[in-house]
Amino acid sequence: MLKILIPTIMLIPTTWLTPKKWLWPSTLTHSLIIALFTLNWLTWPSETAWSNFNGFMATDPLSTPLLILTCWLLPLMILASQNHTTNDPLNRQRMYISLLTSLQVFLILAFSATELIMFYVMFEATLIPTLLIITRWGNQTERLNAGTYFLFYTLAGSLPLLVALLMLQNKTGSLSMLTLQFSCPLNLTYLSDKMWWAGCLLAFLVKMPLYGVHLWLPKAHVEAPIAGSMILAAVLLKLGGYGMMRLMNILEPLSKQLSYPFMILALWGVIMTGLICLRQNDLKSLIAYSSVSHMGLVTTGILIQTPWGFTGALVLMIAHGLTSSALFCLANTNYERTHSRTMVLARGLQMALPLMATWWFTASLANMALPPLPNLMGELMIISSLFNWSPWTLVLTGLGTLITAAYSLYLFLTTQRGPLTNHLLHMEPSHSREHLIMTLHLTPLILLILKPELLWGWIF
Amino acid sequence: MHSTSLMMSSSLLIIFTFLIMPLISTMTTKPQPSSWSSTWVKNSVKMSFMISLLPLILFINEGLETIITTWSWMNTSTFDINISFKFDLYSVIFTPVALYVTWSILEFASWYMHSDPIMNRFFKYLLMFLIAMLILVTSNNMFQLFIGWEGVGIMSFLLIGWWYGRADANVAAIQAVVYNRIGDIGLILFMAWIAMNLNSWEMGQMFMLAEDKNLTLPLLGLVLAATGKSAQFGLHPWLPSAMEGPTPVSALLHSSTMVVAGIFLLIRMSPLMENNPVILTTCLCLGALTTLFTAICALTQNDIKKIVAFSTSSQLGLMMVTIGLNQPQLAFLHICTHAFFKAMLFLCSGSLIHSLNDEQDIRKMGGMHLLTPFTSSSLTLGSLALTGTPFLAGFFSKDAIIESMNTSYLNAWALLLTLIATSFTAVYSLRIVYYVIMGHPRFNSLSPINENNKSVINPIKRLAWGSIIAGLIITSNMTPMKNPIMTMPLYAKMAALIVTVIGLITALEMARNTSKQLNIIPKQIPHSFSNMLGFYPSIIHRLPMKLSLQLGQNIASQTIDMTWLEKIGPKATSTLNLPLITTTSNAQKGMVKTYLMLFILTFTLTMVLLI
Repeated sequence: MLKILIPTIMLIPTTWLTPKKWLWPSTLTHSLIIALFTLNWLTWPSETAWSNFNGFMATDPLSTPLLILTCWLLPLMILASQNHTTNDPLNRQRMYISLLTSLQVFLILAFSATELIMFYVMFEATLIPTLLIITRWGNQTERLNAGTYFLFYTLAGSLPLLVALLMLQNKTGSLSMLTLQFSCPLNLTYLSDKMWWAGCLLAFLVKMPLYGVHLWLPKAHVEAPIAGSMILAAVLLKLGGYGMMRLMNILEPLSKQLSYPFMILALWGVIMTGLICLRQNDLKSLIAYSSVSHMGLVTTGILIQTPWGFTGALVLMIAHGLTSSALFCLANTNYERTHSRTMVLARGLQMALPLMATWWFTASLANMALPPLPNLMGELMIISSLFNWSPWTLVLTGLGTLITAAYSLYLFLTTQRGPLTNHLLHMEPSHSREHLIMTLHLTPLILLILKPELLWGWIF
Repeated sequence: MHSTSLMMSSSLLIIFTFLIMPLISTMTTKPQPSSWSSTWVKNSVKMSFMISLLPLILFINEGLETIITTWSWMNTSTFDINISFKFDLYSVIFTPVALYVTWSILEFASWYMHSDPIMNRFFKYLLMFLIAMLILVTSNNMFQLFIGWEGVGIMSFLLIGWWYGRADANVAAIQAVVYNRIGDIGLILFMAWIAMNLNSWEMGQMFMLAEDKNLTLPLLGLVLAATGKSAQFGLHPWLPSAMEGPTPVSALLHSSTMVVAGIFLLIRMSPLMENNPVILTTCLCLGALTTLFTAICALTQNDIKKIVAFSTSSQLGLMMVTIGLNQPQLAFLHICTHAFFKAMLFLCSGSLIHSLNDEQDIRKMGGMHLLTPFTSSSLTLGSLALTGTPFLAGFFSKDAIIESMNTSYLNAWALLLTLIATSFTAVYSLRIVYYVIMGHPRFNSLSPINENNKSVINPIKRLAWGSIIAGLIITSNMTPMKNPIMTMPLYAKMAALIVTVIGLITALEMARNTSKQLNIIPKQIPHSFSNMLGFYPSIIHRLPMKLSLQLGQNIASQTIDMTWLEKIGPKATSTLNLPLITTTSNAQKGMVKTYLMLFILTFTLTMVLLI
C-alpha cells in the first residue's frame, strides 16, 4: 500500500520543486506511473478477500477497482486541466496540481481504510480540496453558491454518520472492517435503532446522490473546473456507494424493510432526472443529471442486497465513472472553443472536429449502455436483481433505459449532427492531448469487456 | 471434434475473419483510396459468401447441426456466459442469404454513392451492420445475441442518419433508436426473467429448463422486443421514416438485417413459445393487424421508397402471423425469400431515383420500361414475387403460410385481416408498376437516365435470379420440422391466389378510373386515413412527447428541483435561521453603557435579594 501512497504524497514536492518547463510533463508521468503500479493490486494471492495489508490499510476485491480508478484519474485530470490553467501564475498552477494530488491521497486512504472511523475521516477530508477546486477555479460567480451547497449537503448528511459510528464503537468495541462482519448481529428493535440505521446510510445517500438530496450535484458539476467535474463524477460519488456496501452487512436485520422507500425514491429519481436531462440545454448540467440518474440505479442495486445487485452496482460505478468523466472532458473541449455550455451554440461539430465526433459517439453509447460495454453488464445485473424482487420495478428501470437512450442520443445529435453554425467556423482544431484524454478514458472501458471479473467484487 | 463439425466451425471463423479484415485495414493513419470500398469490403463479403456455401452444403448433405463454445467469457458463481455459436438450420441457411444479398447491395452502393466523399466510411458502416446481424444470427447465447441486437440498432442509427446535415435524417435516426429501445425493454425483461428463473442464457439449457414453467410474462417481453425491432403495429412508424437513409441502407435494412432480427429472435425462441397459446394468439393478432394496417398505408403513398417500406412492414406482419400459427420454419422461409425480392425492389427504385435526378415521387415517373428496360422488368419481377405469383420466390413461402392459416382453427378474424392484406399486396404492387413503368413519362426532360453500368445491372441481375429460384431451392432442401399440411379443399388451397387476383383486378379497374372524375367531391376520409398513416404518427409522436417533455420541464425540473427541493432544503434552513441570527446580532450593537447598566442593575438586585 505504501508503495503507492508515498509516491503519491511525494508528488506534491515534485510539483513545487520542478522547473516551470517540466511541471506538467513530470507530474503527468509521475502520476501515470503510479496509476500503472496500482494495477498490481488486481492480483489476489490468497483466497481470503483482503490483501496488501499494513496497519491501517488493505485492499479487497470491492475496493481495488475503485482505488485503481482513483489513481487512473489523476493523470487524466492533469492532462485535462493543462489548457485552462495556462494563463494562471505558476504558483497557482502548482497549487492546483497539489490539490488534485492531495485529493488522490485522501481517496486512497478512504478506499483502503480498514477502520470505519478512518474511512469517515478521509471521506470528510476529500471535501476540503474539492471545495477549494470548485470555489477557487470555477468560472462563474455562482461557484461560491455551488461550493456552499456542496459542503453543507454533504456535511449535514455525514455528521449523523459520525454519531452512529461512535455508537457502534460503543456497542461492538471495534470498527474494523475486517472483523465487523463476524461480530454478533445487533439487536435492533427500537425507534432509536431505526434512526441509527438511517444515520449510517444518510451520509452515503447524500453523497451518491439520492434523488431529493441531489441539488448540490448539478450545481457543483456545472461550476467546477474540468478536473473538479471529472473527479466528482468519477470517484467522489462512488465514495457513497462504497460506504454503503461496506456498512450494509452490519445493518442487516433492519435493512429489509427500511430500505424500500429509499429504493423506490432512487428508482423514481432515475425517471425524473432522466426527464430533466431531456429538457436540458446546458451541456454540463445534462451530464450531471445523467449522473444522478445512473447513481440512482446504483443505489437500488446496493439496497437490494443480492450478490448480483452488489456486483452490478460496482460494475456500473466503475463504468459510469469512466463514461461520465469522458463526457465532462468532451464538454470541456467544447467549452474551451465556444466559451459556452449552451448546447444550441455548439451544433454540427462533426463537420469541424470529426475525430471528436467519434469520441462523442462512443461516450454517448457508453452512457446509454450499449452491449457489451461494462455499463450494460452493470445495468442488466441490477435490473435483473430488482426484477427478481418485484417484476413491477421493470416499468421504472425499463423507462429509465429508454429515457437514457433518448437523452444520450439527443446530446450526440444536438452537439455533433446538423449543419455547422457560422460562428464556429474559425474554431481551434482538436489537439492530440484531447484525443489522448479520450483514449485513456475509453480504452479501459473497452478492455474491461474482455475481463469483467475484475469488477465483480466478492463473487467471481 | 468430428471432421464435419470442425469444417463448419472453421468456415464460420474464416467468414468472420474475412469480414473483419477490411475493418482492420482501416486502422492506419493513412486514408484508404476510394477503391477500398469495392476491393476490400465488397470482395470480402463476396468471399465470405462463397465460403458460407461450404457449411450449407455440409448441412444439406448430412443434416449436421453443431454448437461450439469457445471461451468462458464471465461467470458469477453459478451463472456463466460463454462465447458460443450455433449452427443449425436457421443460421446455416440465413448466413449465405444475408451475405449474398449484402454482396449485391454493396456492389450497387459503389455506384449509388460514388459521388459521396466519404464513401469508404459508408461501406464500413454497412459492413459493421452485417457483422452485427451475423453475430445475432449465429449466437447461442442471449448475451451474445443482445450484442448483435443492439449492434444492428446502433448501426442503423448511423446509417439512417447518414446525411446528418438534414434535420429529417436525424429525426428518423433517433426515432429508430427510441422505438427499438422500447422493444429492448421487452428483451431485458425476458433476459432478466430467464437469468433469475432458469439461471442460464445458453439457449439449449434455457429450452430444457423452461419446460414446466409458466413463461407468459417473459414471452410477452420477447414479443415486445420483436415488435420494436420488426416494426409491428404500435412500434412501426420508425420503419417508413428510416427511408431518410440512402437507398442501399434501406435495401440492407429491409431485406436481410435489422427488421427481420425481431422475427428471427422469435423463431430462435420458438421452442419456448409453442406450448403457450396466449403468446401465440398475441403474435397472430398482432401480425394480422400489422399486415393489414401497413398494407392500407402503402395503398396511397406516393414516395416509391415509402411504398416498398410499407410492403416490408406488411410482410413482417405476415411473418409474425406465421409465428402465431406456430410455424416458425415457414416464417424463416419467408424471411429468406423476402430478402431477395425486397433488396431487388429497393435497388431498382434506387436506380430509378438516381436516373430521374433524385425524384422519388411515383407521380413524376412513368414510361420507364422503354428507357430503363432492365430495371423496369426487374421491378415488375420483384412486384410479382412479392404478390406471390406461382413459382417465383414469394410463392413458396407466402402460399404455404396462407394455406396453413386456412387449415388452422385458430382465429378467423386474423385470417380475414391477412387475406385482405394479401389482396392489398397486389394492389400496391400494381400501383408501383402502373405509375413507374407503364404509361407516359411525367418527369422532367434531360434526366440523366442510364442503367448501363455493371454495378447496377449485375447486383439487380443476381437478386433477380434469387427472386426466381431461391424459393424453390430453399424449400426443396429444407426438411420441415413440423408436419406440413398435405390435403385441403380446393378453395383453401387456392385462397391466396384468388384474393391476389381479385385485388389485382380491382386495382386495374380502379386504375382505369384515374383519368376520370366519378364523384364531384372525392371521399376524403379513407384516403386521408391511408395517406396520413392512420393518423398514428401525428398522435403518438406529439402527445406523449409533449407530455413527457412538459413533465420534465414543468414538474421534474421547475416544480420539484428548482422550487420544492430548494425551498424545503437549503432555503428553508437559511430562512429559519435568519431571524435567530438577526435577533442575536441586533442585541449586540456595542452599546456599552446599556450593557454595564444592565449588569449593575442585575448585580445589585441579586445582592439585595441574597443579603
